[in-house]
Amino acid sequence: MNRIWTIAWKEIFLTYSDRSFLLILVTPLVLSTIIGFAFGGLSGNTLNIGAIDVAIVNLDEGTTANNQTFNYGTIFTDIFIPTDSAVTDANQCVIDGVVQPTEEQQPLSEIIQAVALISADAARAGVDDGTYQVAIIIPPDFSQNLAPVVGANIDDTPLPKTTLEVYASSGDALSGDIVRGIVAGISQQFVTGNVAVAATLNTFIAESQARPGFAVRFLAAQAAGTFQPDFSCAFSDALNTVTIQNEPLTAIQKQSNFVQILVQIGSAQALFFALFTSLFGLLSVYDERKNGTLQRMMVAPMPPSYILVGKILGNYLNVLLQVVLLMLGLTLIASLVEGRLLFIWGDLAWVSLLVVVISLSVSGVGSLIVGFARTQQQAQVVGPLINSGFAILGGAFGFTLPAIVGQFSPIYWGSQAFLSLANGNTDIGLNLLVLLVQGGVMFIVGSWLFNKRSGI
Amino acid sequence: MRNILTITLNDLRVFFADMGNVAGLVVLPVVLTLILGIATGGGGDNTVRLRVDFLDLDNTPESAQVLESLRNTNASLYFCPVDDGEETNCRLEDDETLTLELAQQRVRDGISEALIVIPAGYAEKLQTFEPVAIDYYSLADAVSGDIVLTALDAAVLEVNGAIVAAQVGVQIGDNFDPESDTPIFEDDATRAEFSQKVYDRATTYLAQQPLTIQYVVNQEVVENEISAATAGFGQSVPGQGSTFVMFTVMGGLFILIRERKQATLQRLVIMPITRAEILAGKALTYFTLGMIQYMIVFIVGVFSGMDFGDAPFAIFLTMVAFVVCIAALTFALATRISTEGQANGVSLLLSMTLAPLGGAWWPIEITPPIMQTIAQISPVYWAMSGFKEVIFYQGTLTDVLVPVGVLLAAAVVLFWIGVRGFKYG
Repeated sequence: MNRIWTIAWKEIFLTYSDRSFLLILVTPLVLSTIIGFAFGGLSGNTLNIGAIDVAIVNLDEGTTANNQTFNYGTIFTDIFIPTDSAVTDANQCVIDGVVQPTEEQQPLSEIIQAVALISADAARAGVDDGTYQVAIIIPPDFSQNLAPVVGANIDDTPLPKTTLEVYASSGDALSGDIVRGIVAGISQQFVTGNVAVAATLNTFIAESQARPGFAVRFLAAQAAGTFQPDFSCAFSDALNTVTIQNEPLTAIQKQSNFVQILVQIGSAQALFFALFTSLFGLLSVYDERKNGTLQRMMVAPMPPSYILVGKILGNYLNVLLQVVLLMLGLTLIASLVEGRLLFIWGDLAWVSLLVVVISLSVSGVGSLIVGFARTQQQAQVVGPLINSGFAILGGAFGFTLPAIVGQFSPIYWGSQAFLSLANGNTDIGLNLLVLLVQGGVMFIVGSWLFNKRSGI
Repeated sequence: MRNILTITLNDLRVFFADMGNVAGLVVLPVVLTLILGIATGGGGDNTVRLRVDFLDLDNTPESAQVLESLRNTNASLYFCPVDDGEETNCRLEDDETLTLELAQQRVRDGISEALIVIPAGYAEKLQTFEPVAIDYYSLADAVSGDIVLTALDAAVLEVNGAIVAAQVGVQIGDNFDPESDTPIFEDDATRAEFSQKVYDRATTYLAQQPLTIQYVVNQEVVENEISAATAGFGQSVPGQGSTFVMFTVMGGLFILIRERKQATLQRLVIMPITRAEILAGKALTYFTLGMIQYMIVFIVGVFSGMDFGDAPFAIFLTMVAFVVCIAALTFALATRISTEGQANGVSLLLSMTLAPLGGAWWPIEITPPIMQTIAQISPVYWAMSGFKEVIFYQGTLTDVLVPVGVLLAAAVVLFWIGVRGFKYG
């Protein structure tokens, strides 16, 4: 047994004393951190991406109601390109002399950098040539069709409709989606305001028609000029009562986006690079034969099977150690970024069991590739292709494929299990079973083939 | 020149004699480009319906209104258990009741995309204008986005619109005639009745959707399926092309070290050719391999129906500048690297980090400003800028001059480092 350990230890020593192996350890950490930072700013209450260049074209011709001329297009434009404080004051909702608090939102200027243009074609052309990322085009009938329709018996009359155009570039779909969401929110405020005005006044009119007493008072108040409705609250979000409460479903959802991505992508990346260690670790047998080291071991006073077992055990331990080091590295990165000590992987006992099993599966893949390949060069070419295929299927590159496809990859089963444990869910029996069976079969078949190829 | 070509042709012959190299040059780049292109909009089934659990603990017309608004907002969603049917299978057993715990578990298990819970007392709170929260559960992450939440956001905006209208209506009724001592609402019941009428009327008006937002993406005409291909493959083709050019060209680092180890380089040195010719021959080899790699990936784009813009020469020039820059980087690295293991590690590290950092795997615009600034150290950033100018923004030759200039300037510096410190033995 000592001899097997000696050979295994030699494998570990050779791998970890090679300075170039440091690069294999560093690459998944750097890559996971890049992906974490890249996607970390995409959700939550604030958007952490650069300000989006927007062109606004206000073609609104305005409208007149109750002897007042107003132009919603101008108000809309002023929200994106503030000119004075009057606009923000106009949106304030005051009840009994008290300004009602509105929902705290990320300032629009942090998300959007807008300019006003006069031509819709120029704005679209600006998006086409990349000068602007998105264009908003307010139509000429915006105010006219949005203005409240008030009168007797008009409930059955269809409301006039208007259309705002958000023009985006196919080269920057995300900016288009963000601006569309913002425009939808702001324009809904206009719609709500006008609908509130129409619904209120039309209800007053309907009540007057139904109840003569009410009608007398309503007409009298109008005639005396005491009926001065203040609809400013209808155009503010201060009276919104329904909110969405985003409830965390798992432990990891309580963490930042960066940590969530680090667990998901980092574990997949760790396994992806461990596949390379397994592959190149076993391939070293060819170099050993070339250098005569293998022959020297063969003539040593021990059964040849010791060499095989020692080599395979060493390779397994190499993978195991690498996965552990990468997980520690990812934990360190998460702690540094979050500014507090953070263990991101969940229950330590289950994580340890998973690492033991996944290392078997990963080294099984390596054994199988080296065992099947007829030459060292063939394994060097086919191996990375297979490893990369598993990484793509397993979601190691920042995008996920349907589970039915992903399930062919041990990286999928491994990273899903890591994610479950990080979520506090220890129900990973199926993952362990699949990895154990998948890895075990590959390990046994691969070791047998490897034995034949290596000539031990 | 003849000597240079001889070295290049010989190196290329050796490279292509190995079928493994050919497979590496074609299989993975093509597969990855196709997968990424399809995943980011270049194809696939857009008619897939998503299962969402909707737990209505209030069972009132008001809570049903939320469901109705959700349906109007996104027709691809179906809601369980209310929509359980043959085509919209909720995957619930016959006697199974959807409880909060079960629904949460279904989301955790991936059976449902999300869970929306309307709390008990929802309608009552609406009527008294008290704050009320709709609970939302989902495992959607920042990378994949959350279309159910987007639909819920829009539905809540609509519901809030009617509530705001009712509140404003009542408020105006309360202040109907400030000079009169007699309130317009005789009692709370009349007041509530008036509020309900304004609410119902507002709901009716809002359901007519007086304002719609027409979202137009340039190059995207609904009838023309090619547009989606440009959106998806427009990112994946130049992105994966640049990534694999780095793999292929920087793979030369390994070959250089091996040639040095096997004394092939030393043999070349003692032949009657200049050292400049040797280096030029090697550089031309990597340049040719890089261009072949780009061509293979761009052919995927052609067959996927991608629109490459109107300036093919600008795209070609960007390719040339990027490949030259990476070849120069390979030579510069060769001065510092002495083992095959180091060569493998360094080329893997640089390819796998500079590519995503520079925006090859996803649009650089989605990253935080600081990442966009750091990205500029990657040659991939400049190559992608050039490609995107032409593919997405109708750019011409003039528009790619800056990225091409940066890449060529970097190439000059890196070549100078590489040539100056190149070790032949």
